[in-house]
Amino acid sequence: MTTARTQRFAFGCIWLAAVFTLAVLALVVGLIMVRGLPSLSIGFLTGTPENLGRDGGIFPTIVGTIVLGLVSLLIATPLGIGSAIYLTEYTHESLLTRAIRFGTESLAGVPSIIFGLFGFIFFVTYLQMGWSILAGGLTLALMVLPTIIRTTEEAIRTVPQSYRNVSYSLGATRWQMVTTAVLPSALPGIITGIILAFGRAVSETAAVIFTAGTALNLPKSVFSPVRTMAVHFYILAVEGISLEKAYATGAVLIVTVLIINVIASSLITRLVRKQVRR
Amino acid sequence: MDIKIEFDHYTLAYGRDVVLNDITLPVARNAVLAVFGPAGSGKSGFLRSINRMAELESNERHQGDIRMDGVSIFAPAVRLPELRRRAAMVFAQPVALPMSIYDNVSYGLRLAGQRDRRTLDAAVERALRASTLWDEVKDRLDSPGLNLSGGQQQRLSIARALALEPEVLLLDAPTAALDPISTAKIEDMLIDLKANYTIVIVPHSIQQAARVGDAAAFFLNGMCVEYGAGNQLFVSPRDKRTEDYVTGRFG
Repeated sequence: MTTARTQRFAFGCIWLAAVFTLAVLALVVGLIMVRGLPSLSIGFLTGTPENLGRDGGIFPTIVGTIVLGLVSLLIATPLGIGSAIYLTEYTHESLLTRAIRFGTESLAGVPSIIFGLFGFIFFVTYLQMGWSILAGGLTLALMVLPTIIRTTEEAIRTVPQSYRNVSYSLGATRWQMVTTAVLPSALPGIITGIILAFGRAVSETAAVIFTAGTALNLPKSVFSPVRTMAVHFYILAVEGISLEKAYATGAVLIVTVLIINVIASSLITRLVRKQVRR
Repeated sequence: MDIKIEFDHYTLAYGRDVVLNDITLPVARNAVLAVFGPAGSGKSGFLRSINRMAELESNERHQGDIRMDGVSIFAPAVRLPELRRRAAMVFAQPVALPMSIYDNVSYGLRLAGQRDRRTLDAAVERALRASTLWDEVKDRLDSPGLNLSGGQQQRLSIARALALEPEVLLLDAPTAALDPISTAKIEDMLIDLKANYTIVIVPHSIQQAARVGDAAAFFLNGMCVEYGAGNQLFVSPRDKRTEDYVTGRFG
């Protein structure tokens, strides 16, 4: 083959791969939408479920999903960013950092059902939180912690060393260096990580059923049990309550995640633009 | 000679790598000292010792002493941020931090806790004028520093250091990444600045060392081979190695 042909062949393959990826996404989203949209209505979004969800809306599960996601992020974000800053800026490569990193990687590989069982035994039973937003949020926080740590670490590593040198050379303490030179530059990457984590948290089922429960009521406090959209979808489908409502719930879940992604990415673009262009 | 900084049998090593070997050298007040030599001769280590940036290397070790105004910079009472504000540094690669021009220039002062807007305004203007950048940026202080050209970014870096009103300016090959016109601007600026500052520069060429230095020191393999006032090193070097280097026989 001539180089021009190889070039064209390679381009074709890469193009196909990209199109295939896009097609899979379109197919998944499309299927859920096609099956879910017909039973979607304002009443479905704002109403409360009746007959175990066979009728009525899913308002409490929308609230449950968002609240649970936020609570888990509220716990995981400071922990994750803190660990990442410690690993990248406050220590040199050592046995300890390798151990911490190995621990996080392992945590990332643990199946979510195991997190669910752990959360049930530790938070729900041992700490007597019961099935609650708090127990679910804590469990999810542990689950998404590795994502936040890893993406934050990567974002911090892309900050040029010269920023740190300049900061130190003008009299910054280490903490000032981190907060004024490193974190602002790493922020877009960190936010991306938080969004990924949020996506994982709101779409989780196994870990949530065991820790946040499946209650269909609107939560009153962080000690109330909740049902998330993902769990609702799962129960409606598995227990054969209403496949129609299940798909409708799935559609709302996908749209919710989509909206959050769009808002967050426009936020990132604005941040980056402020740094680079007028 | 009115001495500002004094190296006293100072030795610097990173791990087993000896960067500076038993350096004893005076730096005169309100004058430009040019420290030159081939790559790896210890010039940067010399600069980074004065503001103790060398200590950022995890395996840094040093012996001997460096005194500024007669006081050891390693004395327990010396606070590093304070020392680095007194001896501000500019690096070879221009660095505009990802913030506005104004925020770049006022960065050091804000680190020091200065919040008063009028004080900052005045310092920013003064520093930008001294670094000859004021006329080019005065109308767009709020635009990002990253938009400036390389030469402008380097003058921004110098302004950022000057805003601190340091006593000493440490310049590590500040024109290495710049075109000849920007280089000339910065060299002219240095001549003006030395009335108020003690300047230690690692020049990016022997010619630059001769042009800007009131005194020069030739470094080789971590040792100071020769030190001399004015153009002595370039006109009548005493050491054979200095002569070989400045006449281009090696390096």
